[in-house]
Amino acid sequence: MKNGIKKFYNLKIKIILPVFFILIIVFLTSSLIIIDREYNSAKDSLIDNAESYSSLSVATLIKNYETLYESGFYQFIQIVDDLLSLNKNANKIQILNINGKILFDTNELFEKTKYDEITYGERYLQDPDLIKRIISSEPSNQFLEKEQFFDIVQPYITEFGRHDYSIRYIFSLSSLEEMKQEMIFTIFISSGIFIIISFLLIFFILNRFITAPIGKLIKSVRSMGKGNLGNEIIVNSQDEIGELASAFNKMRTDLKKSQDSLKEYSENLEKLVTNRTEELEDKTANLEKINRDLIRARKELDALNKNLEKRIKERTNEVEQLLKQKDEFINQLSHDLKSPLNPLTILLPILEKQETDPKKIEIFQVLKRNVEYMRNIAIKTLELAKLNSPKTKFSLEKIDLKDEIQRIIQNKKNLFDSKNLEIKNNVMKKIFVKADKLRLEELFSNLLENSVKYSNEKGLIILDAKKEQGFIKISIKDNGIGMKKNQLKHAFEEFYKADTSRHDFESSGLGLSICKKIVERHNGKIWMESEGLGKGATVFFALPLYKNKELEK
Amino acid sequence: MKKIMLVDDEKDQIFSIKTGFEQEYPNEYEIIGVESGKKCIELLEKNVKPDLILLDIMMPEMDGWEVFDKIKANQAWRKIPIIFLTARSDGLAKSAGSMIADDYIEKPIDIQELKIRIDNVLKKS
Repeated sequence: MKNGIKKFYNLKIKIILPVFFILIIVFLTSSLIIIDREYNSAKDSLIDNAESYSSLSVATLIKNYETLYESGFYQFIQIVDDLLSLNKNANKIQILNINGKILFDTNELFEKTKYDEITYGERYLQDPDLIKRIISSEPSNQFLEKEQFFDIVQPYITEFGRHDYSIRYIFSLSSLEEMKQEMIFTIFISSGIFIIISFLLIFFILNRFITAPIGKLIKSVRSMGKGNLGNEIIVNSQDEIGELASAFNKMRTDLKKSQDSLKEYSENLEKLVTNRTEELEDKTANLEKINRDLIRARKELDALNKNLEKRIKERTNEVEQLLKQKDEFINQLSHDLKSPLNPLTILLPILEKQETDPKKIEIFQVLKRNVEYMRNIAIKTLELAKLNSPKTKFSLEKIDLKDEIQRIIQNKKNLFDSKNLEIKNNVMKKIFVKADKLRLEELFSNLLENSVKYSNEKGLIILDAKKEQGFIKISIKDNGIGMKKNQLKHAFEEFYKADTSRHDFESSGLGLSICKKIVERHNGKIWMESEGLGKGATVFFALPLYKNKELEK
Repeated sequence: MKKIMLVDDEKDQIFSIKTGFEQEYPNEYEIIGVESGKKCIELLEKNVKPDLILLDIMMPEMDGWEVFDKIKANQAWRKIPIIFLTARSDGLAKSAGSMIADDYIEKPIDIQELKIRIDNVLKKS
């Protein structure tokens, strides 16, 4: 704001100073012109006066000189004095003869004594120019401005054309100078007064019509700036400032309008905010309450949890203990069941071989068959129990499917030969599965034994494999006795036998259940398909493919 | 004749295997039946040097594992091949046994199969 004021005054000065200078210059030049003209006219009138004065007085002076100079000197100088007083500028009078001799000089008037020619000698003019003028029968004048003098030489011509005398009048120019100085003085005074008055006038006008309205405008705008939009700017003039003011007023009303709407808006907003804040406070209070409840509930829950955890731990320990006991029991049972079978499986064939009595041989065969059955049941039951135990770990590795199947087929050669079966391994090369090797062998052994069991003499068993979305679908197809649809469903159930009426010593009814468990433990699936009795059967199972990524790990 | 030491706490087991070999493969093996781990170590200390040891795991007092450790810890005996012959079929025993010993055979077993596996081990050593 301060800056604004400064600029504003600057503006005033900017307007007034040039005007002031222009005024001074105008007045000065006009005064000089006036002074010059006045001075010249005064000078002219002075010359006119002097000329008429000299031409009128010349005859009187000469006549009085001729008659009175010698006899009535005092009377003469009285007349000269009177003549001099007729023209205030007349300073000196010299009466001269045409030889340039000074006959009378006004000095004598002032000294009141006649010039003593005998004592001091005759007086003559020295200046040759002046002498020429004296001789001339025409009047002449000359300015001696340096000396502030002006002289007129007036010849005296008699009625008979005789030219014996000339008179030299000397006029002082000091009155002219005085007048000049007086004029300069008065002009300066008056012009000074004029300038001051016009300055004041301009100032007043400026103030009245520009500065004050602008000041008003500024004040209003400033108060507008402070946010007070209520007061209208009152500027009565119709000029640009008036226009500016009305423009400002327009702006003010617009601003006021928008300010009002803004105010209204902000009031609404405030109201809204207040409402929202209240709502929020309510909600916060609610939330805090809920939070407190929650904290309390959590504490209770924590206490409960700890209790529960403790109990779970206890129970887990119990369960673990029980599982351990179970595993130990199974191992013990395995040992206890299998060990007594050992002497039977070894000793019975020896006795049978040594026996020659056919009746006794038959008895040994019955015994052997039953021992074999018992052994089978014991091994398979234990195997299934192990597979059911979560503690039994599978060690998965990369296995070449075709090679592995080939190896198993080789090991089972005697089994296939016993029924003169043909076996085909159609599995493609370089298919790798992720499986536990021992369990995989068990799986194939069980399934192949199963196929052999239900195959006819000189039958055909075909193994094949097909990749399917990260899995490999393996099939074992035989052309044996086949299965009914309702039998298929139960094929993998524990202790299920297709023909319940027949007491099958070779089957424990657990083989396929073990197979199902092994496949499931590999995240796979196993199922059986058959067209019906006498049309053969196919066992399918899916195993996860080995991915190269896992190898890198 | 190969000398085979059979360590088993059950007399019937020793008898049946001994009889089986005598009957099926006479004069091929000399079976020395030992009824406990302790006796096995004692015999070894008495400079009885078998060509192979068939070792049961589940025995009272000193079990198969301990006997195995003692044999393998002794400079003079450690080269004797050992086959575990046991009724235990749990994964741990099976995998550990087949890893450390020359072979691991589960009971019950045919005498023919036992002979094949014994011969295999003897061939290797």
